[in-house]
Amino acid sequence: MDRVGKYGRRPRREGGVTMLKADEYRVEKKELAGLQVNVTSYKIGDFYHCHIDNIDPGATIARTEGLTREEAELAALARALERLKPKTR
Amino acid sequence: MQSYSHPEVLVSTDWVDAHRQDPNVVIAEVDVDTSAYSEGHIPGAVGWNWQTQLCDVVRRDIISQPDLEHLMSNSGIGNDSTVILYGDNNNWFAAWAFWQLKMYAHKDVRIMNGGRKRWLAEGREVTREMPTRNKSGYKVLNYDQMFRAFRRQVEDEMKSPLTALVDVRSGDEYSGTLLAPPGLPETCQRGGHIPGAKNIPWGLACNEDGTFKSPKELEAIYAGKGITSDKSVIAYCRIGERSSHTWFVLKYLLGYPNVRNYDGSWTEWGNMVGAPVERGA
Repeated sequence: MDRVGKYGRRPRREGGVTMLKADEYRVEKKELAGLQVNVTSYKIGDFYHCHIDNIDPGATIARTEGLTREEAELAALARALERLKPKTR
Repeated sequence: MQSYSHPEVLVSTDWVDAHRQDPNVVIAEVDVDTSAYSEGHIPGAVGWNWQTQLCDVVRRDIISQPDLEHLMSNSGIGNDSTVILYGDNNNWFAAWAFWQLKMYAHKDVRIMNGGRKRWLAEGREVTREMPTRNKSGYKVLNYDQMFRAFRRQVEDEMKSPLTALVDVRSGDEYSGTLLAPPGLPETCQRGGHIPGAKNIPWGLACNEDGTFKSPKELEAIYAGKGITSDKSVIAYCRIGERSSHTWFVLKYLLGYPNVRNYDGSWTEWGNMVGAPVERGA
């Protein structure tokens, strides 16, 4: 049991540095505002992280975090949707 | 299996894991969005911000020699250090840093194949703690802009049969349908491409996991569009970072002798009064 009373493995320490991993790594392809995007999410420590890339050309357009995967993904999707409003001439 | 022309500039995630504590190795994560570094980075890696530490945003230029010396010194990088670069967006900005370090003649700089994406996907260890490194007193020993193309050079050479222009943006940016990648700011007045440029999006050089394709596959991609080693090749994109990735592929993985990155790219060309522009695929 750890110091806050939760069961689980303590992070490894190396030279005084806490070592973590990106757990539950997942990439999903989705369509957003008519564009193909990659939605990548994973957990590092206590937080879930999510970033959304426009597949063509591959730039990150939203990066968020949350206490759950769903929270992180919803926030990222909302931010990406705002940025993906089409700009054409 | 055929190997890359300069395999010494590319390291695997396995190699980095095995050597990350070597005293002569310094790892730098180069991101456009440094919140990625804050999420967790390779233990011991310093974090470089492309926008604030690797660009002169006032002159719109690469960083000056004193700024580079300051960055390297503060990162604990000595003139003899082995610098390993990796980052977000499939190493776009790591390639930008590599391009600059080569112009400032750092002896041993390498890119981690697959970048941040692959490191995380493989479940390798990360940390949120920033390393403390002693300042190194780094001094630039030489500077040569031979890997850089300027607008006037592009204008002079664009019609030469000895020069090949490669537009590494997406097909929609090349055709003029889009002025910028979806979700990113438009930085030009009009769409299209430099007349004569071939469209070979940067991502064609990568596998799904972010690693580079094999030499044979790369050769087929570029030679198939007339981008061959006998030509003077100039790569460009929107702001010069994607094209530094393609510059790396052509120069170091395929070994083309004469490759330059036009970092002014479409943000410069697409705003110039009277500049020739082609539209359509």
